[in-house]
Amino acid sequence: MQDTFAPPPITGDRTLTIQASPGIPVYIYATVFASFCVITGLIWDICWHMSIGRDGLLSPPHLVIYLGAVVAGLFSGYEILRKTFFGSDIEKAASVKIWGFFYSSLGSLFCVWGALSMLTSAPFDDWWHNTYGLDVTILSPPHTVLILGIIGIQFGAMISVIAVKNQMKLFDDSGREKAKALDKTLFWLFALSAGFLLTIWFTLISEELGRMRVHRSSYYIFAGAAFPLLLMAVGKAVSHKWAVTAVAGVYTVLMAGTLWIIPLFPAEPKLGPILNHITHYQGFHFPLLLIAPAIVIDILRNRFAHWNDWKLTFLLGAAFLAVFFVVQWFFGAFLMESPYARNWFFGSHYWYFGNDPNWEYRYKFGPWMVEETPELLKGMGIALVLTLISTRIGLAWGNWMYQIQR
Amino acid sequence: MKKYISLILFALLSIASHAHVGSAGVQMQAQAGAYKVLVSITPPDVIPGTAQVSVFIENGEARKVTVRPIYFYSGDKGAPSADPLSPVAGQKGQFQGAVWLMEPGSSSAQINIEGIQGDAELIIPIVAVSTAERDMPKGLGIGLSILGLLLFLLMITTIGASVSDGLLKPGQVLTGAQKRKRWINMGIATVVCSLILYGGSSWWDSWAAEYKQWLYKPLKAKTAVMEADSQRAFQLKIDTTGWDRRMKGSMLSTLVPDHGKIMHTFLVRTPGLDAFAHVHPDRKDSLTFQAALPDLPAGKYLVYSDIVQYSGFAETIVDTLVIPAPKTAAQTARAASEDDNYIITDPLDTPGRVPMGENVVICGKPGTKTVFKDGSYAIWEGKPDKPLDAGKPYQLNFEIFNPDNSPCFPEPYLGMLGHAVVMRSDGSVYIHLHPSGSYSMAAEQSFENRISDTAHVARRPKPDVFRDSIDRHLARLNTMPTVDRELFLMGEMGMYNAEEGGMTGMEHGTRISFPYAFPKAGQYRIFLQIKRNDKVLTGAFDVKVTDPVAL
Repeated sequence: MQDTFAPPPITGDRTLTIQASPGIPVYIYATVFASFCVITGLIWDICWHMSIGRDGLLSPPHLVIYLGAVVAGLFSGYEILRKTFFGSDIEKAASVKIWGFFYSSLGSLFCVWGALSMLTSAPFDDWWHNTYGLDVTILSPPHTVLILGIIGIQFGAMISVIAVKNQMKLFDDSGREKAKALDKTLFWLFALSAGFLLTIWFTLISEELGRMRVHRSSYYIFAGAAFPLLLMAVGKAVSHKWAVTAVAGVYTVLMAGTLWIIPLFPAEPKLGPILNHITHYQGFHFPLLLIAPAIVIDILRNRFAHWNDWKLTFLLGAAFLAVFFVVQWFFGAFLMESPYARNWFFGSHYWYFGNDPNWEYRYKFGPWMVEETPELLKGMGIALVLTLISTRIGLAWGNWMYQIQR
Repeated sequence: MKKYISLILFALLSIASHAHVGSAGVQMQAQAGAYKVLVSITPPDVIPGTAQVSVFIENGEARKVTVRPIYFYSGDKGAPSADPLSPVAGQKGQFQGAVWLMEPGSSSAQINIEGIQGDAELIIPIVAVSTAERDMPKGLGIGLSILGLLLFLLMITTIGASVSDGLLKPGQVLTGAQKRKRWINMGIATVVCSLILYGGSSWWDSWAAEYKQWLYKPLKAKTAVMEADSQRAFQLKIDTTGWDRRMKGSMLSTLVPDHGKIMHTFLVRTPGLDAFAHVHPDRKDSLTFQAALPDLPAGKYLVYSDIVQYSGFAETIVDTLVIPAPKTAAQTARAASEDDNYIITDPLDTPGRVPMGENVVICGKPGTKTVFKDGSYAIWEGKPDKPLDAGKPYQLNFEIFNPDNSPCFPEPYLGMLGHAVVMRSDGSVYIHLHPSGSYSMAAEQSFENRISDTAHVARRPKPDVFRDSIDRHLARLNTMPTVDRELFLMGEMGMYNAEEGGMTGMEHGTRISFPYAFPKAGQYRIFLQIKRNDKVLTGAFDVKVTDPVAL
């Protein structure tokens, strides 16, 4: 394992101009990899349930999720124990101390919490199945414990990266090529970890964001409440012109990649009733076009960087909702109704095996899928309020992440 | 004290009462193609869940045995592909595996056999319902609580660190104000996390309440002894209280006859199980069923009434009934149907204390001889002093003899060579068995019809039209001569084919076997029914069943 960075001897002075940039610790790569495992495992698991239906504790997608938990838990746990028992004074001085004994980074704490939470969910879920029946739903109390654990790991990965990136600022070696390369690597590690977190964010509320709901205001209420929170935070957390776009891009690539790769593999339903016979995996969703509001947000926040957070809240929040509404309203209708969306690229033809494939509203908005204009306007009003709240919290959260040092 | 105990017993009885009254397993013995097979299925007590399937190939050599679940609603076209059952190491001809039952209601397991003697297939109906309510085991509860507490404390600590020393440059220490800020934030985190936990626990409670809503609730009925034309009749009236909520709809109009009878009712005197009757109430209207009451002695009776839905869902209605002594000598029973029969025998565990009369038989034990009222007798193979094990599938074999000790070939009774009722002393286990097994023949036919139907989704029959057609069919059966009716019933169940030279699906010998696994330890009584010289004969046998796990 590569050494963690070694700051200069502490002189009591806060100027820390020193010789060389530290490297990126191995556990940072490990936690980002773990974050990738849990989200791809989760998307695979959802496709598994849509295509095969039944699973066990050791189904392949579960194994990928557990791999993420084990990697995050072991690497972070090892870091904590190593720092506590064998860490140098300098390392300890750059750590948070908990329960008066353990030395850790913040990110490792979240990762360990996530791994522990996922571990707790396994026996809980097993008992749950024996008591209330096997899974027929994504969100049950034990699954929520699992998902909170997954979010803990992904959040921990993001925090771990941002802490190392923020520490880099302490070293005034901006002129060095190596430092620039390191900073670039850290930026991409951050974009990856935040993009993976954004994907799980989406996955959690994906049932509310299906293509059949794009012409209802509830779609924009959920999206407005959920996404600005994270997108605004990443914009504030790192000083990079295209931070939000990069994170939305990671989400887009991950979603599109899984949509295009997973259905290449054979799968058949193993649970009745089977109304839709299939031979290959059904894909998850085509990515939301979050990339469009992300680009607009990046342009605006760079242009109005001197504004305070309250003014930015109104500007960025309103811009997010307006752009998201326009692109998603029309693109959602395309996914829903156009025959050109029923292919491997857009994936609108994927269909749960228990649903009737000849259902009349499979490719058509049913009367309950659309709203009257006054109802829609009222809903959009609520969406705007929630978007602004979400934006404001996101900005505050981003400010906090910008300050993380340990 | 005794009153309380019996109250508790009855409370337990009502919990245990479900489709098979304490005996959830399904055993089937059948001739599938060239193979003689014995299948044992243990359904899950929570749906969705997995049923354990064991297949024993008694005759023939199978290479591969597979199973797949078929739901009545979605039929053959909507069933998943079959899963192989794995051979049991060291046990020739034994295969084991599981089927996933995701939908509550009427399900089945279709078993396919491939082997040296060709391919064969059979279908076993399963009643898939949730019947269990579980508490969390103490050890697991403690373990999860410790982990939960650890997660709670770790989260609060982490949030505290996030707003305090996590933001400090290396080597800096917290100021007083920063320490205060940490404590304030940890306080807020404690409140928020507690609220989240409270929300989670309310969610869990609502989940448990929802589950309870969907727990199988047995059909309820009120039974009574009626006076009609100065003669006594048994009446059963279905209790429909609260049906709106349970969306039962027209289910009573879609009952189908099992062995030519819309309802099979067994009356057994409690506590000694010393009087027994098998009667077949006719449908008077959708809710009311009535039969002539046999000349049973006065006392408290347990009532079990079996019915089968069009979908193959078989249920047992349980009630208790007090039969009073007849007021006058003239008030004797009306001439009962020839298919109805009753006996009086000695109470459980007090042999020989019964005054002999026309309808009295003495209870037997395995290996001993039980004489029917016409002098013929049956011997249950086995050793009288050897208890049976709970949970183990057995063949209960009865050898039948004429009064002159020559082997007796029983006549078909309601299309079967014999019927047996197995009961536990407290009434908590009851099952109506046939040589083919512990499932409903009508349910099996429903599934066979459903599988040959290619419709994706089962069509619901029109309730009134369906009920009328069944009533007409039953009336026609009643007017048939006995021999014709028995042949018709056997033909309907696939056990008689005139072109193939008589009985096909069952062996016609002097020995009758019933496959069964006793679900739990206890004292059991088996009532065996056969037909000889146009008369239904009933015998009783006792057996002790012990739990092989418990000492």
